[in-house]
Amino acid sequence: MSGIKKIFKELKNFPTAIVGLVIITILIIVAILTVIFIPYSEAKRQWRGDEAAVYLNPMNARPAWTNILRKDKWPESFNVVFSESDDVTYTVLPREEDDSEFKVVTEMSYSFEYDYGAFPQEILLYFEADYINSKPFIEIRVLTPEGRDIRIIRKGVAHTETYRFNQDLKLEQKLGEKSALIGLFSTIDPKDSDVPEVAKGTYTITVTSQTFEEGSNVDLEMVLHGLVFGATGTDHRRRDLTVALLWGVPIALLFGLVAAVGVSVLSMLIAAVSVWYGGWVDTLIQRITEVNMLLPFLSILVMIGTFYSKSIWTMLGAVILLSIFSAAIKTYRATFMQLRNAPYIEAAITYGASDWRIITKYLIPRIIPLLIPALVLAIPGFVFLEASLNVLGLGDPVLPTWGKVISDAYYQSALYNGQYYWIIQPAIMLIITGLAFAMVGFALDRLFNPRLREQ
Amino acid sequence: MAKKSRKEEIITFNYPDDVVLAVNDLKIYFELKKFGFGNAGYVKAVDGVSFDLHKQEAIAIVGESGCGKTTLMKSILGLYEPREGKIIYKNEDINKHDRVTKRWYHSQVGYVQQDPFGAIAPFLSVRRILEEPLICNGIKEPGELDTRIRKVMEEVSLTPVDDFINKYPHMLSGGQQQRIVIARAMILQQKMMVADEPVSMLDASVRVEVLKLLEGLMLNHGLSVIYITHDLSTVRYFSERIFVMYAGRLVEKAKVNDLIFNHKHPYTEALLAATSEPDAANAKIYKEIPEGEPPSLLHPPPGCRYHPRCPKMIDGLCNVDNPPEFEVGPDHLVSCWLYKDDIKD
Repeated sequence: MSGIKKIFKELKNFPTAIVGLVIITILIIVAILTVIFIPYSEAKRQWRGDEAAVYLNPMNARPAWTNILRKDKWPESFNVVFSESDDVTYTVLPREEDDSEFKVVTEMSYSFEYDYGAFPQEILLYFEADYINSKPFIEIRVLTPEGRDIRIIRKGVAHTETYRFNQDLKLEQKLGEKSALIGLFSTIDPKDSDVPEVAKGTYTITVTSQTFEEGSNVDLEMVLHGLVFGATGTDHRRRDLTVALLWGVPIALLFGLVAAVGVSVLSMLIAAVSVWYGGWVDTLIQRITEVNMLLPFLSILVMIGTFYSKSIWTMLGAVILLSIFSAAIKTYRATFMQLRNAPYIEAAITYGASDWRIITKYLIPRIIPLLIPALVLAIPGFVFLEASLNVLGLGDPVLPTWGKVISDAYYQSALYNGQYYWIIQPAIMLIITGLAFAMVGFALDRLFNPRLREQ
Repeated sequence: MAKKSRKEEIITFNYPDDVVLAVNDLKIYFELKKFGFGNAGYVKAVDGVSFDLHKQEAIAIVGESGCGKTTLMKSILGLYEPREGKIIYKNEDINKHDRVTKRWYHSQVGYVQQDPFGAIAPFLSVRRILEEPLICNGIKEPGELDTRIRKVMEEVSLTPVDDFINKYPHMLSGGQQQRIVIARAMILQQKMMVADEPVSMLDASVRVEVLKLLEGLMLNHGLSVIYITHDLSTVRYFSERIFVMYAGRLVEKAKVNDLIFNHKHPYTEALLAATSEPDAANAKIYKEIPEGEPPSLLHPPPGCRYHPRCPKMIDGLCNVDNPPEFEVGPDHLVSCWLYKDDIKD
C-alpha cells in the first residue's frame, strides 16, 4: 500500500499527470452522478425519443449558450400548463339569453414577452377536454405587439388533441407567409420588405372555450419550441443531447477500463503461463497469437454486430477476446523469458514453490511496473474504439453514447447544415477523456521505467 | 509412462544410514535442436559422475568454468532431469516423478547461490523472502512464521532482527544479502545444503565471515554440504573431500590434504599450479599452464577427456579408452591411466 502512496507522491512532480488525474476524477464523479440522477431506464426512455419524453424539446436546437454570441437572441423554448400557471387569466364570460343551461364560456389568456431576433420553430397546444357527449368548442386568438388580433382557429376538441401552428395550412394561407408562425410573428413594416422580421414585444394568446355539459372543462398546455435548448442542444429526433453526453461518460469509462484491464491482465497471465510451462503450451499459445494477429479485427466485429448482436456487452466481450492474443503477449513473453531463469526463481523451485505460486508471486510482480502505464494508455484506445464502432453502425442500439451522437450527426449531415455543436460536443468529450488518460499514462511510464532500468 | 513408474516403485536402495546422498553414474545431456524439432546431438554436460555424500560431511567440487559443476549441482537440486543414472537421497530416488517425494526432498535441501542479489526477489521484503519457503511447505500460522524467521536471522547474525526484517534487498550490503540467502537455505531445517560458489561475488573482507558462518552452521545443525567452486583457496575452510571435475567427469577424488599435497591427476596438478599465492614475486614468474582449451562437450574426445592437453598422454590408451577410477591411497581415487598399475588388490 505504501507503494501506491509513493507513486502518487512522485506523480506530483508531473503537472500533466495532476491535470489528467483531476480530469479523470471529474469524469468519474460525473459518471456516478449521471447513473444516480438519470437512471438507466430513464436514459433509455429519453434516447428512444418517446413523444412524452421529448415533446418539450425543439428539433435540432442549438445549445442555449450560443445566444451569448448573438446580438439578436434566438428564442428559447418554454411551456405553460394553463390550469397550473399563475400568469394565465381566467374570465368566465356572462351567459347570453338563448344559451342552454349548462353552457359555460371561459376565456383563458396568457401573455409572454418575445424579444428574440428569430421566429420560433413551432407552437403546440395540447388540449385535454373532459366531457361525456358534447365536445367542447374552442377559439384561439393571438394579439401581436403591433395590435393585430388574429383568429387562429375555431374548432371542437376531443378528449386529447394537439394543435400545431405550423401544420395549419389554412392559417398559413391566411397569413400569407412561408409558414404560419412567420406570418404570426413578423412585423407589419420590415426594413427589408423581402425578409420577414420579428415584431418584438408582448404577445397574448387567448383561448376561449365553450363547454356544454355539467363538469365539462378544457385544459391546455402551450409549448413554444424555440431555436436554442438546454446546455447542449437537441438532435434531429428532438432528443436532448445532454442525456447522451452524460451517459457517454460512464459507458466510455466502463468500456475503456474493462477492456483495458481485461486485455492487459489476461494477456499478461497467458504470457506468464506460456513461458513458465513452455513446450507445447508455449507453442500453442504463440501460434494462436500469431494467427489472431493476422485476423482482421474490425471485420470480425462487423460480422458479430451484423449477424449476432450489437449489444455493448457482446462487443466488449468480442473486443477483449480478440485483443488478448495480440502483440502484447509477445512483449510480455519476451520479458518473462528473461525472468524465467532468474536465480530467485530457481531458488523458489528448490524450496518447493508450486507452479501457480511462481507465476503469480514471482513472475507477474516483476512485470507490473510495465503493465500499469500500458494499461492506463490502453484505456483511450478502447474508448475511441467504442466510438468508432458506433460510427460504423455497430453501436448499441439502445444506449446513448458519444459515438452514437457523432454517428447521428454524420448521417444527418450536421456540419453541412451548420449544426457544429452536434459533432463538436461529443468529440470534445472523447478528446478530454483520451487526453486525461494519456497524460497520466505517460507520466506513469516515465515514473516506472527508470526504475525498471535501475533494477 | 504408468508402466515405467510402477517399475520404479519396485526399486529399493540399501545405502547405509550414513550416506545422505548417493549419485550413481549420473549423465545429464542437453539436446540440441535443429529447426525446432530435429536432433543435432547432445551437450554432455555431466557424463558419468558417481559419489557418496556422508552425514555431516562437506565436499567440494572444483573445476574450471564450463566443466559441468553447475549442471551437476542443479541436477542434485532437482532442476534438471538426468538422462541416465540416479540421484538417491536417503534411499529415495529424487527423480521418480512422485510429488510427495519431490516435495519432501525440496524441503530437505537448501540452496545457496552465487549472486546474492539475483538469488532473492528484489520486490519482496526480508520477511517475505524468508516466509516463502515456510508457506510453500505448509507452515502458515503467523506466530510460528515470525518465531522461525527471527530464529534463523539470529543464526546468520542478521541482528538486531528488527533492523533488517522489513528491509528490501537493495537496502542491504552484499554480505547481508548472502546471509539472507543462507538463512533461506536453512529455514526449513534442511539436512543438506548445496552451495554454488557462495562467496565468489563477495569482496574479500566478507568472504571469510560468510565461510565461517557456513562452517558454524554445518557443525551446529549437522548439515551435509556440497560446495562448488572454481577457487581452490576457499576450499580448505571446511570441506573434507575435494572432487576435481573436468569436462563433465570427476577426475580425482581425495581428502583435502591428499589433494593439495599429494595430487595424482595431471589436470589437478595444472589446476593447483594456476592457483595464485599472494606473493609479489609471482608477477615475474611465468607459470606453466596446460596448452589448449577445455574440450567441446558436444563432441568430447574419446578416451580420457584430458588427453589432448595432457603432457603425460599414453598414445593408444588415453585416447582410446575412458580410464576407470584407480585407488591410489585411502579415500583417494584417480581416473587416469598413469596409475593403472597401482591397483592394490
